[in-house]
Amino acid sequence: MATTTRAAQPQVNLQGAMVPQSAINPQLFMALTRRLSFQNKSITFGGLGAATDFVEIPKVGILSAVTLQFDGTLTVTLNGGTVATTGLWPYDFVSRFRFAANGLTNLINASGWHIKAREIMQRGDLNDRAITRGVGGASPGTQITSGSLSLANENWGVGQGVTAIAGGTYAVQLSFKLPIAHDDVYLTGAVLAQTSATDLTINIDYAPLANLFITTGSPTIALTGAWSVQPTAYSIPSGPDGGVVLPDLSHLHSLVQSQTSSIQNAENEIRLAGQGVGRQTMRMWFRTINGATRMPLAMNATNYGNVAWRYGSNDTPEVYPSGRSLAVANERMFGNDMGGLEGFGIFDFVNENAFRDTVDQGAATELRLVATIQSGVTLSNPQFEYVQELLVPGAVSAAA
Amino acid sequence: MSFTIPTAADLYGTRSAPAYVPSAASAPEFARQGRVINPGPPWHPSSPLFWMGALIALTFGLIGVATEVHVGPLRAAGKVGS
Repeated sequence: MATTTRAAQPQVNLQGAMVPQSAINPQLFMALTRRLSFQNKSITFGGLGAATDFVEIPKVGILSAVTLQFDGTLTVTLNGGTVATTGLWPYDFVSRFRFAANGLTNLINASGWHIKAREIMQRGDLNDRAITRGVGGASPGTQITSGSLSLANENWGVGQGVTAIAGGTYAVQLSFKLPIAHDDVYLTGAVLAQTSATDLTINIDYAPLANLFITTGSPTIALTGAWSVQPTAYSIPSGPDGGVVLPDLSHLHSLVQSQTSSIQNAENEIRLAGQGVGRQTMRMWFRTINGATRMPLAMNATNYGNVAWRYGSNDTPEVYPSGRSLAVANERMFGNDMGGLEGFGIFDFVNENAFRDTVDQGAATELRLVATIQSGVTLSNPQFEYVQELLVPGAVSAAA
Repeated sequence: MSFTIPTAADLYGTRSAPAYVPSAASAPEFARQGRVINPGPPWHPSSPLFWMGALIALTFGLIGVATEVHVGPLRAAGKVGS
């Protein structure tokens, strides 16, 4: 009997898994795939400052996002003392979300506030206008209707940076969307999950109680609750020849937060950690947490002078004369006030024309952020937080 | 109406393509391009293994080579191995 031998297909290394080169067909993938949104096993919140909570994501399809929803209760018992929240409340009760895929750690490594800010930057049509929250002043706080970065369907329980919180029980409902893919439209940066070669994990680190609450006397504060985990993935269809069909997964999405306390009342030039050839910068942003209340410095002319980004010896492609100028540019770009309240200053290279604007780190070396803190600002235990959002080649690890 | 799905390079200007790793089936292509030198079987003099074996055999006296040259009244002789 005559037999035929099927020729071996050239293989490509796709995020650590070997797949036939012919399987990569974005056009056919988009035509045939199905969006999957499913419930993962929920996990009990381990407690503030406690050991890290750990989530394992099922190996299904092409993973593009994971939505984590926290449903909890904040119980405050004054015992004759006082309780106030810091500026890190509520979203930075998660000090870090850390996502790892196939041994590539720290693809995502950022705190809750930065994850919230990034979601608004990316979507463009998502904004916090007309959502009332309490920020600053005596609890429930000064009522603001813009700049909180929150969703109407969230509940902070108590305000941000508010004093004189009454004893009682408060419902806390927060939602975070971890952007595994850089963009949900073309799945750039999505992760090939459906392979035994992959382990997909999310670690959730929590801030200690002292970072979120300022107390006098001996009140007790307890935050309890649970996380529901909702991954979004896309099914891997079969092609006409019976093989799998995959989208362009040549890159991974990296979103990494770093910080430094070495800033002063002058022009600060902060070199970004984890740069390398082949990495493409989508965005970079920063904010400064300051003082005992840990409130962010508002992005305005009182707090910031020149803000810019720089590379090479002294190339400064974009410079804004004050924090306010950058805040205005950001509001215009994102349709949301990112800096007036929560202090974010953003250099975005994606939203208008990514092909034109994104920064190739092979050509623009020694990237730095430039932030001038005005002389009138009293710096006390400042923390300059900055985030880089990159696309990195699939076989290369994320930024440090 | 057709619509082409852009790649990461189309959308974001990334320069790197997926890393190409040759499969076993494509290895001979590399050999033909001179990237891999085929040394032949170990018993052929073009193989380094042939010469290594010969050296070992001489060292341990398994084989020997002797020669003698006469030029007029002069005579020279040499011997390697037993």
